[in-house]
Amino acid sequence: MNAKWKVTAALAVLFGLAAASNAGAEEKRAEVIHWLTAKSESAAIGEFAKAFNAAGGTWVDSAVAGGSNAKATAINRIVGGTPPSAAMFNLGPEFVELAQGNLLRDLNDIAAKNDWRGKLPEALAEAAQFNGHFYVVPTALNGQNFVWYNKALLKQIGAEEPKSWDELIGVLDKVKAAGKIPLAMAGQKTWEAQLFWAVLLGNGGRDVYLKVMKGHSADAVRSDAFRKAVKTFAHLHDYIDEGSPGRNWNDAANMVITGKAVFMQMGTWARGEFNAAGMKPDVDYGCTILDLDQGYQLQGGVFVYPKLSDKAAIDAQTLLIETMSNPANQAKFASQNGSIPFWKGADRSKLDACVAKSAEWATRPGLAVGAQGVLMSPALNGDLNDLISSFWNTPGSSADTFVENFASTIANAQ
Amino acid sequence: MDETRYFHWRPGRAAAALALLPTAFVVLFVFIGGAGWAALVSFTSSRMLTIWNFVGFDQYAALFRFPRWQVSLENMVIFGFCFILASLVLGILLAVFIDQKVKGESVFRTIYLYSYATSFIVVGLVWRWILDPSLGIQHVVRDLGFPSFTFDWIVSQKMAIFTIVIAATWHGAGLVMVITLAGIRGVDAEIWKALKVDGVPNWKAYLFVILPTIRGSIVTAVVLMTIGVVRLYDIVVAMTNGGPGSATEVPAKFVVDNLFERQNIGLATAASTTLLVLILLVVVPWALWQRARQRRMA
Amino acid sequence: MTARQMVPDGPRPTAFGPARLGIYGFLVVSAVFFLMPLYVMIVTSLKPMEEIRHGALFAWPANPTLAPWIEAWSSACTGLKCEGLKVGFANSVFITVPSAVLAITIGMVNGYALSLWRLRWSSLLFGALLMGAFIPYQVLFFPLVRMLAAIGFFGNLAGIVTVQVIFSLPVMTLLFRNYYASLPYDLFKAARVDGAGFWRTWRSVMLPLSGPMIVVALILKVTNTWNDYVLGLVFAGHRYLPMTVELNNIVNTTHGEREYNMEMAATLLTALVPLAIYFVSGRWFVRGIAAGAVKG
Repeated sequence: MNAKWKVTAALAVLFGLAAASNAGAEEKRAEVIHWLTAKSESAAIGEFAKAFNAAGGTWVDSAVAGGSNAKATAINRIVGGTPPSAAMFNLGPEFVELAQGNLLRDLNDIAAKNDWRGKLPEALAEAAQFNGHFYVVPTALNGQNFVWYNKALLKQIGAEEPKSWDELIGVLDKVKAAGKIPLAMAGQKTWEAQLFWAVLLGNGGRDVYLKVMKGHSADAVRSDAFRKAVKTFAHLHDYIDEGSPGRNWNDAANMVITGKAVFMQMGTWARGEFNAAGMKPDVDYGCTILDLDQGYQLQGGVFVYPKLSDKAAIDAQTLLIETMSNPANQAKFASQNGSIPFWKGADRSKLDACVAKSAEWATRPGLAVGAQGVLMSPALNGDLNDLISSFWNTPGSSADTFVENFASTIANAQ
Repeated sequence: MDETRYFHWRPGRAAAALALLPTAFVVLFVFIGGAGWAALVSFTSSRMLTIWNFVGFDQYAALFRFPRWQVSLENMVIFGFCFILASLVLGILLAVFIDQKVKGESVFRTIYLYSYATSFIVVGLVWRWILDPSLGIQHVVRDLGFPSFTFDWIVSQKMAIFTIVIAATWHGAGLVMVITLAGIRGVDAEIWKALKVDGVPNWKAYLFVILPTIRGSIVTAVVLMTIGVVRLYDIVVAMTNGGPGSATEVPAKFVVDNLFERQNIGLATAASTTLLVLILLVVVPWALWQRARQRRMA
Repeated sequence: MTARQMVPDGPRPTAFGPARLGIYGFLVVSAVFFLMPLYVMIVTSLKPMEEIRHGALFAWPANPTLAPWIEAWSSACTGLKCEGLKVGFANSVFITVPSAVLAITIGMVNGYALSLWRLRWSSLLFGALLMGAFIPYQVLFFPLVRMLAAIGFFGNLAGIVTVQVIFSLPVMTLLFRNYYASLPYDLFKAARVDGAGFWRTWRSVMLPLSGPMIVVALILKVTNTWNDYVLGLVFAGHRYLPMTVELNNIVNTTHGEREYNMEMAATLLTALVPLAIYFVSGRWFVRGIAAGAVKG
């Protein structure tokens, strides 16, 4: 009995303490939900926090790993009536429904005051608006259609660095003959689909890519250019190893790093693994976009700022928005994260070779194009992921059936 | 259960009803209310947020057009059958063998149960590595001098679902063992005494006397596993993420993917409502039949 | 140990021979199957990343290091903070203890009321409760968030505990209902003859009999609550995020680099609390505890 009471008393004290430590109210508190949890990502978001705290705010960090977890948390909080001051979403139409539901703060005043239109690349300024109103601050932007390779290995095999998807096939044949794994594949739906869209843009061409994604054109899907890209995509399956299904992209990168495999397709974030292994960009590992003239696939994160009711909370949010959309802070964020410093006038002198290349291409007029997540709804994207993944994983399956299913999915999308 | 078991004098019954009241409240508002809400939303065109724009059975028509949904349902049945059978056999065998006055019982028991304590986010990855033909068991056995040894289920569209069965059994068999063991240890001492006096061999005693006596525990384990089968999500996400292709997709993953990542609440609720109706179609006739049988026996 | 002496009525002891060998053989082979992933996790957690990149999965670490364990506990980045898993530990305790106590108590009372008292709607209630377990609970988030927010139970400790109890009601009730229903009827005949009321019968007869099932329920509930991630994430609010949210932030990333050694260490560390419960609860798995309690 005695012991039982002791336990009860101890618990009561613990709960009391917990409640007490919760009570202190702070000025200019702003809670931010995001999914930047890896080491470099965490250092990057830390730049915003530092700047916000220095400006007199108190940054409350709600990191939730995994985009869909973080978004689900944010949506539930907004719907449940306890919105955070800021929440991360993906660049693209994800925020539109929240804006339509009148749940997001209209950022036009702040945007006008700080000349966002003048400082953001046009494609991005467009993606940050809905019905002529700014609702998001683009933040962690990446190039998606990069190809990475082990330079030493490629030299040893005696192959040239490819410039196009057609050239790549020739190089992959040489690698295969030399007994290495030509293409390290991360066999998860997202990455399989990502490879497909990269091939469609480069090998099928920018025109068909945009017609399919933006125009939802079934005719474009049935075109020769699309079919050619499908053929190239299916052909790439001959160059992967049997262990690929289900593999993390990090493990695929490790195969290139350790010299088991030569090539991989992945967004600019892949540099994190190469650099962590002590490899040097453009010296030990190469990074490029095949058929670069067709386009640079842009994707990434944005921050939305839910409508708040409390005056003090709104003031804190205003300070937060100004901090996070400040080009100098954005540049610091990008350099920690390895993402693109895209605000005009950002200092690009200290970037590593791959990021510098990426930044140059991303801001070259007329080159950047939205990736699948930017141009299509999450629902359509997911359905196409299923389709692409099934096609990829069933070697020898009919390309015609795939094209037909693809066309009808695209045509049925709202 | 026969009627005479029940207590039914009046003041006690009132207290019993009162004790069940909170649960009834939860059932009514959370489970029935929630399921009803989901059913209602499934008739709307809701995407990220709920919007009361009714579209009839459109979401259901769309649902059954998805090959992935049909694969998910098939996988649930295949997985459910194999997983429940494997866990039940392994769990009961382990419980019975542990019950043989073995040395180090608590060590064995903890070994079989620890897997239940591990969160699947990372363990799924470990299983994927172990089953990865270029990294795990196949790789190691080939290096040992059996170059033709093949164990590549996880990368095969046909066999991948069975790797989920292996990992799920590894995760769940320990729990069956514990529930069974708790049942066995609760068996009346008189029964053991009688069995010993009659000289019944051990295996016969377990098979024909002990296991039927602890029927309740085994039913509990089966129901727990069935709930796990319908809710199966974590293991798949961590091990194969539904792949290769859609080979290991399951209904709960379809629901969750559409609910959050794909921002398609209408479709997600249509899927969960369909799932619930399918389960009711199986369970209700069975429950009615059980009841009728009990009435007849009473 | 006294436990041994309390076990006079188990199965007949077999002489040491082929049968005995078979028993140990089966137990050991099974143990190998169960331990294989643990082995991989432990060796991976002790390797530097360089060794892991080469992919020798089962190899013993050439340069074993404890750094990943220390990092996972105290300095891994889980977002802005780099304080490791320890941050969420207290929260997990705050959530798990009241959830487990409440859920098991309510489950026990429910099971008792449903299995031994004749009530008109009881089987319908039980059926509906069990059906609740079959709804993927993520679907219920939207209505539940609104309901709880309306009564101030959203985004705080009360909220997460309530949700934890609600979602474990079906299973907890099921456990005790089936267990009580399988106990020999003689055990509570006396109470019935006495004319003891609902609560007195529970306290004096059922509660002492419930030992083994309480242990099972404890194992189930503590494990589920401790390892729960989604409910904590949505309902606990910023102040009470459980340790699994930190764990997930350490091991899960879409675009970031991965440190597998630390991820393994973090996972094993998180599993320690349920493991300790399993180990301690072992002494309850003793034959005759139910019968002994009644006779004594």
